[in-house]
Amino acid sequence: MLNAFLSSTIAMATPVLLAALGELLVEETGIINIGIEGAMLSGAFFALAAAYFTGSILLGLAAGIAAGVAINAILGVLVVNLSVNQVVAGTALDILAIGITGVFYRRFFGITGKAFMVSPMPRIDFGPLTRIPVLGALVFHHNILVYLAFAMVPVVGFILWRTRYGLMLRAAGERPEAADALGLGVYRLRWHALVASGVLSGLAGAYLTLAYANTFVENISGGRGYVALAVVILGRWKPWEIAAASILFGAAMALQFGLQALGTQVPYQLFLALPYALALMVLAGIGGQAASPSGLGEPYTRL
Amino acid sequence: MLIARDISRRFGRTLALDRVDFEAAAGEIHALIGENGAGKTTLMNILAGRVRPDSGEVSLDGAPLPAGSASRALKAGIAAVNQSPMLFERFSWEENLALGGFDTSGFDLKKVADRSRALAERLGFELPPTGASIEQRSVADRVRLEVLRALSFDPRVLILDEPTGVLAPSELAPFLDLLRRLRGEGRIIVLITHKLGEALAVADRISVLQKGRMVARTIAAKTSEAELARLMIGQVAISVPEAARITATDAVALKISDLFLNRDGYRVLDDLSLEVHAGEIAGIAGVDGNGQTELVEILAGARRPDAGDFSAFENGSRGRSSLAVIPETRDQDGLVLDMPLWENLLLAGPLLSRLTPRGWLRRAGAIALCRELLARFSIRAPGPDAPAAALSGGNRQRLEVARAIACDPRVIVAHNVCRGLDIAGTAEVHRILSAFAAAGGAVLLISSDLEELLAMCERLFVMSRGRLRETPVAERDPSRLGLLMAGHWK
Ligand SMILES: Nc1ncnc2c1ncn2[C@@H]1O[C@H](COP(=O)(O)OP(=O)(O)O)[C@@H](O)[C@H]1O
Ligand SMILES: [Mg+2]
Repeated sequence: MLNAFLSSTIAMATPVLLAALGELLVEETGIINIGIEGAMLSGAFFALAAAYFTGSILLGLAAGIAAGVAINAILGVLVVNLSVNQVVAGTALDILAIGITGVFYRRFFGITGKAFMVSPMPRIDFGPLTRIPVLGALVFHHNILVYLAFAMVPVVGFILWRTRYGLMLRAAGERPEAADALGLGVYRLRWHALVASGVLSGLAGAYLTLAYANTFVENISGGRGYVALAVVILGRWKPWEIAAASILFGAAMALQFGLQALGTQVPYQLFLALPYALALMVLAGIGGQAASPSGLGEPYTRL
Repeated sequence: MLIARDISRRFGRTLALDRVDFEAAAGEIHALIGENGAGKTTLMNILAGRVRPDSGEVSLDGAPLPAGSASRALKAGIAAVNQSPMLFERFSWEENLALGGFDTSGFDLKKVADRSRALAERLGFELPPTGASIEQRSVADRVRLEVLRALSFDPRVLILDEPTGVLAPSELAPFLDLLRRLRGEGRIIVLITHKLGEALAVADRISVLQKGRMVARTIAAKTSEAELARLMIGQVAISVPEAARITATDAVALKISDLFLNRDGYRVLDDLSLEVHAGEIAGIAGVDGNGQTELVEILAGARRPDAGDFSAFENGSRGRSSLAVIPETRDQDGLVLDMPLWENLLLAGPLLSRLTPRGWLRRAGAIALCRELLARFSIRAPGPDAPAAALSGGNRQRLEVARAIACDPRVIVAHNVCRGLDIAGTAEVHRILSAFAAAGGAVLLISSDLEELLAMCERLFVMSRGRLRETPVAERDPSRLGLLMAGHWK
């Protein structure tokens, strides 16, 4: 029971963490990416479709990444080059992704009713380590994407706060006109962050279908992209705190599954709402002291 | 040799630069002077690759520079210091400098700090303690940090946009010395200023911009403040408006007595007193930033003076409700662009109380009033329900004047009310204000456009460093007014 809870916590935290780290990168350059939900959903669908038709998990992951980057590239043209309102553009992309994945899904699989399943991504074999109580289920019980997600935490932190490149990224989000005056190339920096975030949210989506559900259902991302946005705020734009916030969300998800499985009289929708309610509550408690980049969400046009 | 040829740049309806030629030679300090809005900052931004010109080109030592690329301009050796420092508030000062030109391989902030300290010492600057963020620093500190960051590129050309405006008088002499030292190193120094004395004291040559056109380039030793002032202001028609003279009365409508205001240890308003009479248009001329904005804020009730008072009178009795203020920054202060025009009318207190008896909004009444004002002041708008954003700049300004007059005030205070308007729009606003005065109202027109004031006002004051001085009609020639505006009271 506890083992299942712990392992499920990490499994649920992973896609949110991947997406949130990407979101952190773009937000540090001054873009708020509401379209992250759409990038995740597209990554989920195209990863599964590629893996299903080619039989290769690796090609599946590649397709997921490509889909995430493609969605972010549309966003980049809109918000970076054309200075469209970021919230409007991002929301439009979310809706677009629901439409595209839904149409393709029904076209390929809906009519035949054929099972749209792939075999799950293998767990890494840690031998006896897996049997260590608690730690085994928490740490040594997962596939490669989980370790990749957590390994990205210090990597993103290092890039943002220990390199000149990271300083440049943050400068673009802090005061874009000043960054451009120093010749840092704000548009280019924002594109870099958008591509990186596209890779990470594509992977997050691929994780949902290839490693977690092993199938696709419409709107499988189910708001996890939005949760990633909240997690960045909860984690106050700091990678380790973002990881902690993702785990908190994962735990609420795992708890929700556990409570549903117990089969009480309480309507299951209440349990479904639990992780989101928790995210809202913590956000309300912590949100006031958040330290977002000064130029976050402001459209910027070069003269 | 830094050469700019035939530079033009338009922002919307404003032609900020009109086929401007500029050049500055190695080993000289070249002053670029001009009134507010003359295009000085725009020219700097184009030289530094921050703004792309519509036409024309820039070259340094014979090599043409690509238009609109700040990184290429920096590589070629052109560094610029902004009018309001462009620093990253939440970063430490070392991080701010690390984004400059020092070698930062390995991202060693300590190395950046060491090199900054070495450079600062050479320049006689003091640096903040290690790791301090910018947020707490004074404006003068920020200017120094930005100068330091610009010099970290070891630039061949250093352009400074009104750097002395924020320096205390005691900091000025060392700063000018620093510029001379940099000139001695063979660099090209371009100093943008509107302080004539400063330009004459430090510059070798002086270029004068006037309303986007380069009107003169002279050798500093061969010119005078009076000549520069005349060049800056240009030809203005000297006339005394007939209408105002006819309607002016003896009844005081606005009385400002002994206003003082200090900020950051500077005296912004210095014993300012003024009376405006019913039926007249009185004007205040001056270079922006000499206390006009603060005076308007005090009259609007948005700021408290340290000492002094003002009152508006109606038939000899006091009452502030009869005073309407049209502030300068229209889009920020005056209108809410997303709101319909009729709702914008309600933003004025007297109209709000008139149109919301007992707390209920009289929507139909507000819309009817709006429609009436649109017609009476020939404001071109789709209708009362259109958002203010749908109006052109000129029509927004007319709407604000109309709203002020609809409040039925005795006194209107208007600050730079025609800035950015075309000729027809300006004439229309002037006509409205003149009609208001002719009907017994009092107008205080505060403007940096001397031509406007000379055409509108019989009584004209010049404001400089927070003080007022009346200029009799006999004194109104451009060079004399220019000197007064530059603070030479004699
Ligand atoms: N980004 C901009 N958008 C619109 N108008 C601008 C912009 N920058 C400058 N202008 C206009 O161009 C003219 C010249 O401005 P500027 O170069 O800042 O003058 P100065 O520095 O001499 O005071 C002004 O009328 C100003 O309003
Ligand atoms: Mg300027």
